Amino acid sequence: MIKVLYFARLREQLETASEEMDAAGLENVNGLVTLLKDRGGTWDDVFGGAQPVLMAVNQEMVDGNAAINDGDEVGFFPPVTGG
Amino acid sequence: MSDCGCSSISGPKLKPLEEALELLLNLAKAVEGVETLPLSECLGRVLAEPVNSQVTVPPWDNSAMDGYAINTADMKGDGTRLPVSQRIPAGASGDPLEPGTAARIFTGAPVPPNADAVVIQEVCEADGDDVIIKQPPEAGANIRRAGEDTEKDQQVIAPGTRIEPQHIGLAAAVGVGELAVYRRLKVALFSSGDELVDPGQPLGPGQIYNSNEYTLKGLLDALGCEVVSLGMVEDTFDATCEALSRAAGQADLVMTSGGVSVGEEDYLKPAVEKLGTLDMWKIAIRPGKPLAFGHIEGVPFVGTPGNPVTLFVTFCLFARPFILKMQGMTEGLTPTPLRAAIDFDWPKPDKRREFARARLQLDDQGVPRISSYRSRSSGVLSSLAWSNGLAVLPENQVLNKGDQVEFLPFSELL
Repeated sequence: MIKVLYFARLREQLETASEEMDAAGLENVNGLVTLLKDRGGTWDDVFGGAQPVLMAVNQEMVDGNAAINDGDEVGFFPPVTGG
Repeated sequence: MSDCGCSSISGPKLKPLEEALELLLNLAKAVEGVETLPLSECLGRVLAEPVNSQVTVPPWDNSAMDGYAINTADMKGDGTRLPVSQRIPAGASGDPLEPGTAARIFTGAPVPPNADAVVIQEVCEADGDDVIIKQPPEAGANIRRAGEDTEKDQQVIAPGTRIEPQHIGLAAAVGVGELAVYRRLKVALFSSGDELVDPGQPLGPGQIYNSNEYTLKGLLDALGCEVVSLGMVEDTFDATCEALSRAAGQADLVMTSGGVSVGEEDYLKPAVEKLGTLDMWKIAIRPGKPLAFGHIEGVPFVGTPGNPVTLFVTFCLFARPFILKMQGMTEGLTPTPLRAAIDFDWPKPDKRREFARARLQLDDQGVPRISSYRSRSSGVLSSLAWSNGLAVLPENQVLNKGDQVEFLPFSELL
């Protein structure tokens, strides 16, 4: 199992603060994003949108290629625009 | 309207301060590593394991006042006369109270067995070997019960607390001589820029003094960090990568000022991106806005703006809570604001929240008032030295003299 956390605006949009998920078959964070996007509706808006969300695995910022292992904590944050 | 909180069509949305803080705090992990230190060396450190009382405080029922210990069963209304059978000063332990007598007792002295109240001396009259009690007390009056303050083995200081002088006193009072504290957070500082010269050296043409590294070091020292200065790094991509890697290899956090803004001729941004991840945030505050956050080989990296005032404000609002959490603190990560009236008008608010350099002081009537620095230019360090805090001026809100706003005193920020 992994723990998935949603922060700030994402938490409000998705009406979910955290959930536990089975990590079996998930290769990396991109795989998890696809899984979440496929839930459709708001999930598709958030995870399938043009703006990427920020991701962290065990409190470290990562890109989508980062591996996910059993027991990990994955955090998603609102996209950062500008810069 | 553009202030509905939804995405604006007119350009990139700025990140609200609260969102940036939440993100930062969720990415901050307390350092691993605990050391046990004698109490006298613990000031400013963060407690890693609870402090439990070794004793019961107070250790016995004791008198809260100077007076007479009696048993209320012996009271026969106002003016009861009792012989004084013993005298118990603080530090002595009395004998059981003989029925029908009173014991002279002093503050802090143990209440003798069989006594159930202390009468304060102001309502007593000594008459030879007797005492006349003008007003009989209630049972339990003026007795501090054993364990009233602390029971043995009770937790008196929670992990995550920064040790202040009062905590040292409390630990000593409950018999604890050493504390388990987190090791000091090690922060590596990084300066680049050929135009920078250390104070004390002569300035060449086009050169300025390197104040930012000194400001940052001061801010980090004040938080009890161990600061590792990497000094000036040559302005090349390879040298920057090498220095960053060296910094990450020996520190818990790498910090720098400047060099990460858009369009700056600098190798810092590509170097961090090569070694790890870097995000640029535009935060809806003034002064401030840009903040760089990322990881270098797994070590967090915080890049603050290069402007001296902006660096200071950004550090106080964002880097400080992040650092406190890394140090192991669990509460009080963000400052507690005061509220007071402003003594100026604010007719043209920004869409970003303003953290104005300000002074909170008493006016002629003794009422606290917030004054702001005359210049809003963010390049002026003298404005910070003049200030004693930051006034929080809300976004999109016209303010008039006398309106109440939040004020963050530097005592909450430094």
